[in-house]
Amino acid sequence: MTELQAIGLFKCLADKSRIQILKSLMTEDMYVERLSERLNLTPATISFHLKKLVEAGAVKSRKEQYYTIYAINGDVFNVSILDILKEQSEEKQLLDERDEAYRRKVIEAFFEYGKLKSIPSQRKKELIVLKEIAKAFEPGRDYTEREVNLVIAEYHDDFCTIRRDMIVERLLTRENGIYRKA
Amino acid sequence: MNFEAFYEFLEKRKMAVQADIQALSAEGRSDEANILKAKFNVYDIGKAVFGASAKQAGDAVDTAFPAAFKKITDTWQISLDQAKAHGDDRKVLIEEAKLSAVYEISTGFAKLV
Repeated sequence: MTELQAIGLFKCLADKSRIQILKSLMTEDMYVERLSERLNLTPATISFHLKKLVEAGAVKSRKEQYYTIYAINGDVFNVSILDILKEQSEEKQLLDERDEAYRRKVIEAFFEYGKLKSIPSQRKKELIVLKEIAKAFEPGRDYTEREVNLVIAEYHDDFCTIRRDMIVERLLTRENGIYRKA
Repeated sequence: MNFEAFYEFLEKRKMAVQADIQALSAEGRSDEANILKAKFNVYDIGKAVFGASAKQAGDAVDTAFPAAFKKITDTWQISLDQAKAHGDDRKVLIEEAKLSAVYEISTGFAKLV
């Protein structure tokens, strides 16, 4: 269940009449007139609520001769609230997609045939560039400063600035002259 | 003509509907409460149309008001029929609520004025 679907379901359930309809449907599948008699609500009111419940996925309908029979959608109610909360939010997905699109745009703008054209002046863009260069370092491996310079030099001549900035941005660690990918 | 009694009747009905709206809201039936708000407003429309009819028609208000009120409320019946034809359940409930107030106002007027 997506976050939007969950919000729609919870909003729909926040109504006494709809809860009563669901309680009735827990006992047996019913049609509008039967629910109307049982809950002392007009058929139009029942239809209105059933439509909302169907839209939210809480209730399913099927045709039986002249009647439309409504039933609880067990699949929706068997999902635990914790499972819904564990779902990654669509908003986060959207933000991640936007970030990825921006990252690709920056890389396309600053790299040409694998070489860094210039060091971005904007910190946000520079960080993207530095992270891209950091991919060339093997995790867990020790590098001497000379080795670090050689790796960076593959991308740009100003390896001193880039090496220093990678330390500042914590993409590399330096201890006793030994560098490691963070 | 008993204008005062008619105004009092409209006000009483309006208060009764307001009480129903509050009760529905308190019960957690907010959608039904919101639909009933459309009915609540009809009493004010009735009051305004009656006031204008009385001002314009004077003693002939007993025929002027029903005619003027019908002119407005006939469109609600058309709206209800359209809503039913299109399966617009919410609109059906709203128009039915409004027309139930129209019925109350019309019968109340016939009795009191």
